[in-house]
Amino acid sequence: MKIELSVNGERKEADVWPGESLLFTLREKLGLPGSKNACEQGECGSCSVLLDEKLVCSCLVLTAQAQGHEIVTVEGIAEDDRLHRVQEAFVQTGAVQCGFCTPGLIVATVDLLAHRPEPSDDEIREALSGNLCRCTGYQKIFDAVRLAARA
Amino acid sequence: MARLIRTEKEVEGRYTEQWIVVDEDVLEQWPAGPLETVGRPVPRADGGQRARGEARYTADIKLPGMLHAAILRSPHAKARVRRIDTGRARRAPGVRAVLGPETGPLTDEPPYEGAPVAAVAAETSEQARTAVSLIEVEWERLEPLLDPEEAVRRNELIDEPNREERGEVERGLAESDAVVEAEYRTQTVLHNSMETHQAICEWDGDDRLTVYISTQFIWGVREEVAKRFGLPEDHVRVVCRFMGGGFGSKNGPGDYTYVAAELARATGRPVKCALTRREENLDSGNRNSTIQRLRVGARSDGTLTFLDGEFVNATGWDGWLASTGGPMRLLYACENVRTVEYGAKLNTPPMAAFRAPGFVEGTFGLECLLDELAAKLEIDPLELRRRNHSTHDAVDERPFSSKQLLECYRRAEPHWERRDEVRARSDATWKRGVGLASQVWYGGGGPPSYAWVRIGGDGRAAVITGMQDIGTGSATAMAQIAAEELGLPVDRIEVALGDSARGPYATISAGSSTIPSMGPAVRAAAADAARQLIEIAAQRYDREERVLSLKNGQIVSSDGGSWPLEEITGLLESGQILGKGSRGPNPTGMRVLTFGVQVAEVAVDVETGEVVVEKIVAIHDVGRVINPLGASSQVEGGIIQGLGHTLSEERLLDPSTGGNLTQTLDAYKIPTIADVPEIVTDLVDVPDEHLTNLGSKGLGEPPIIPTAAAIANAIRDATGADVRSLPITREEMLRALREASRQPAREEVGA
Amino acid sequence: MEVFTPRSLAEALRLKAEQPSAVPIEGGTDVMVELNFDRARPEALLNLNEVAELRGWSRDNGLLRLGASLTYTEAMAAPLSEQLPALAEASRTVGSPQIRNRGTLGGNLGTASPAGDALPPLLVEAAEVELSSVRGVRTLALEDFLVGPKRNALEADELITAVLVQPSGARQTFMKVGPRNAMVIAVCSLAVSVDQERCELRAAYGSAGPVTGLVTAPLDEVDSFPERVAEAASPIDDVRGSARYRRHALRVLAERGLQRCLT
Repeated sequence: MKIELSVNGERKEADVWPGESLLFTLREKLGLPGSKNACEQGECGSCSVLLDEKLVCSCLVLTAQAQGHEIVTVEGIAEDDRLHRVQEAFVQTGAVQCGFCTPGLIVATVDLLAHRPEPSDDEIREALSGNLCRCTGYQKIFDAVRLAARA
Repeated sequence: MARLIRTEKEVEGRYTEQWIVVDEDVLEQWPAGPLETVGRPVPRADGGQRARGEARYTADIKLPGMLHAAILRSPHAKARVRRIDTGRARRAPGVRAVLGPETGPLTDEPPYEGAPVAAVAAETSEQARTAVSLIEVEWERLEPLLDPEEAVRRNELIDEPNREERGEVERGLAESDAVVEAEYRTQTVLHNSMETHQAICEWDGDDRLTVYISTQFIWGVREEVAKRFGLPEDHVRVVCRFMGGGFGSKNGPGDYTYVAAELARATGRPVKCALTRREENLDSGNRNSTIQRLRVGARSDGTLTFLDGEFVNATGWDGWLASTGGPMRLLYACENVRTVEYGAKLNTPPMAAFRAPGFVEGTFGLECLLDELAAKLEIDPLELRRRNHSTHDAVDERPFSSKQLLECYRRAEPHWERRDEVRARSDATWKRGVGLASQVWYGGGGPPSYAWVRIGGDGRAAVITGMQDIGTGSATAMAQIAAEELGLPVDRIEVALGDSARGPYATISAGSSTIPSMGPAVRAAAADAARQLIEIAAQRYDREERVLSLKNGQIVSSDGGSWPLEEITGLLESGQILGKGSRGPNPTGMRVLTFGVQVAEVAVDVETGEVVVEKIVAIHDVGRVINPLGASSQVEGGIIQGLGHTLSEERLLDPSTGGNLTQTLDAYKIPTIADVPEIVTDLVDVPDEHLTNLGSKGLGEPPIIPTAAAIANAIRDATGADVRSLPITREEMLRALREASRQPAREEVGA
Repeated sequence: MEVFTPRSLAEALRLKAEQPSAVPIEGGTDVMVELNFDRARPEALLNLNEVAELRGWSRDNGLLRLGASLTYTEAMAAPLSEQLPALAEASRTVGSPQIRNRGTLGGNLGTASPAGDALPPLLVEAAEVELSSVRGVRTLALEDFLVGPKRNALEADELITAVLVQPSGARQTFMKVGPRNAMVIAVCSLAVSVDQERCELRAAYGSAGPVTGLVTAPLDEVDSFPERVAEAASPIDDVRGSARYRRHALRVLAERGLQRCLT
């Protein structure tokens, strides 16, 4: 079936299998592999995107449900050549290790700061608890969020 | 002149001897402490690409015409294929090839659940999975062997038992004033790298193969794939540019690579074989479970009289015997030590190296046992460890190349002294306490590893080597080392890696060996290039070589004058300066080991059994630290994996069928950001003066080693309960509390 | 497979009547996992995201009407959270922000898992479920709606359209024991309320029996109530915990819940 949606401000069309997840469509049909596939069940957050400005796991969104809606992926976060302050903060603080979970964390942090410009540590814990990272030990992710909040 | 020597190489605690060629010139180590770039925090060079989602992992690579593979895996722990019909699968939409059990590594006698039986290549992954579901198999189910103790009784072992003894345990026993004996158990845990195991294979004709793979060892994959397909090694190109974690599970090619290669050969198209998370947790390796029966004796002053351990590793169908007895043999000065290690061959998935294999498990048992001994002797646990500090490797009487464990203990003191204050914050429900545990591990790396350094007319340098960066930031560390030697800012260094066709042989990224193996080669290559630059500059500027040096992108003369580097390199226009370097041998007759201690603060809800780890202080001796930012990240990451190992992670098998009940991440619980304690990292940062031109040891593994025991010992301090089985679930905690309350009061614990 | 995306409730009900095997999908937090894991290949999916009538909540004469599409995130927000505080607490323990933004009350009821986090607080508040079809509308007490593990009283042509609650105003709370701090399916969970006006203690447990179960007692039986809750449950041993532990944990949660509601 044909689906039309907006991704990172651009109108896109995709021919999808009806049971297809938005994650699969983004990665395999729309040339946007920034969102990662790591669990397929909404447990790891690596596929996090914004759907109509709400943070969601794209693996749990049926592409057909995105018909006519607006999606922002990690590829749409940076402002042209310049990294978004959240991306910059992740790099500077060492919050990026293997980087496979990073795109999801970037999107989740952008969403957090949009709602809570100066989050407490408890708010960071709550907001990012759906994004699993197996490398960093999360300490530097706290550092990154705090730095981005100050920036 | 090139010199041929024989040297010892160690990976994950396994030693081999080998010949290597070394250069005559040996560089002196840099002075200790932070230098211009080395020893200072540097954000990783490719962080921006990763943060933008632009880094292309194996998972993201799409080749023109690429097909997708799916594997039919055995649903039984032990079975035989009576009949298999792939007809419907072959006729399914999009299917381009189907392989049955006659093609290796597929098998018609799967010896564990998840073993690959048949495979399909189709235009899309959905089509491939659908086709797999259409393969009809008539199974003959066989009785699996799942109990490791039963396997040992039946002598079903992966290898000969490893028996090691020094001194006489019986004599030590006779000399003991106190003896403690206990059984410890550790569970099976799963790596769960965020990027699952996967490879893309593309043939060029019938005798050249390119493998894109998420791997920790490009050259190992090249060698094994070449051997399997009977190709010259140079006809196999292995590429791994960005890599989403491995933790020991991605040291070799694995069945999925061979399946992709066979399907690619059958179809004449590139084939990707990517494991799903469920397949990942079935059949990509694990840290095997252990049963440890341990005894320790000591004199009343705390001097250890003997250590005795029997270790049963539930190795699984394949793998190797992890060194669970290693910590017992290496950590303390003790004359009488006996260890026996068994590797049970079971109808369960093969184990794989997982961040300090064997030592994580063995340290949990040993360091808990030490605290139980300390309680019995009424000796402070830190003091007990000090009294048994070893000054040399008692296994073969070799001196350590460096050992800063006493300094680690000294730095641990202020954290250890917090225990009265921490305990005082207990209430009726929440009991608080402090515990510590020591750590020993390898991590010296070894040869061979090579690097090239190329300096262009623009005065920028490239480090070229066939190493991989598995996510630890090794590439950034290499840039720092080259920058230091070349006197260049680190942003003028590129590191080109991840491709066996575009650089020389480089180390496996396992066994905490990337920096100690690769770093010295990079430094040697940079020094070779620097020497040439100085020689050229001396001619150009009419100075003696000895007065010239490289600093801040300049050629500086000690008798006045400096010239930008690009002024001299620019003369060459398209010409380049090329340096090469190799990893030298490890110090002869010495034992290179890493050491450390961790102090944990915990709170235990004695009603629900919930354990909250509030703080962990990690103090480690890993020689010279190249990048403190990357190093602390390794420590924090290791501790959090240790925390998961201690509290929440466990692969559960159905005890009757051997079926994996925890294949998905909702069932297998790795820590989230909500679970993490405060972590304080303190690295001693003293170069190992005997080890290479760098003095750096590895750090990937040490931080995960003492975490479980430190937490368990803190729980004992808080509650008086001995937790001897991992993970310490709420139920396990309550069980230990019930047991403690049945025993006579032990007010002296931790006092 | 087909996907239907109705734009109104009437259209949704008509589609469901025409194709009763169509699986309703809202936030996708359950249905998508089945699809992604190749466990389910329904003939049709009924995407309810565009049905405005199912969204949000309203109040009529004190009776709250929570639309089936109400998300956990919405249930956590004031002023609804003040009306149904235990539901708000339970919503907060559901998964992650990503899941809370998508997961809905209707989905939780439709899946009818004994681990469904929204169910215990709604049971304690004596909620009713509104079921609609082209044949009409009926309401069922939540207890009667939940008929077994992952089974509910929904007819093939019906959709869950709302949850109806008369807030009791009683002090109430929700607690959960899980193997990890966040993103967990509970080992067991408990909602507790102390209704001083009606002189009643109420508790509903999750993950401790084939269905979410309700236990009530007179106010003066506070001391024996935790034991009653533990005994009323019929937990099993599974990957997340043993029956014995679950019973123990329910007792502790009940004690703590009562303490919270009585002070």
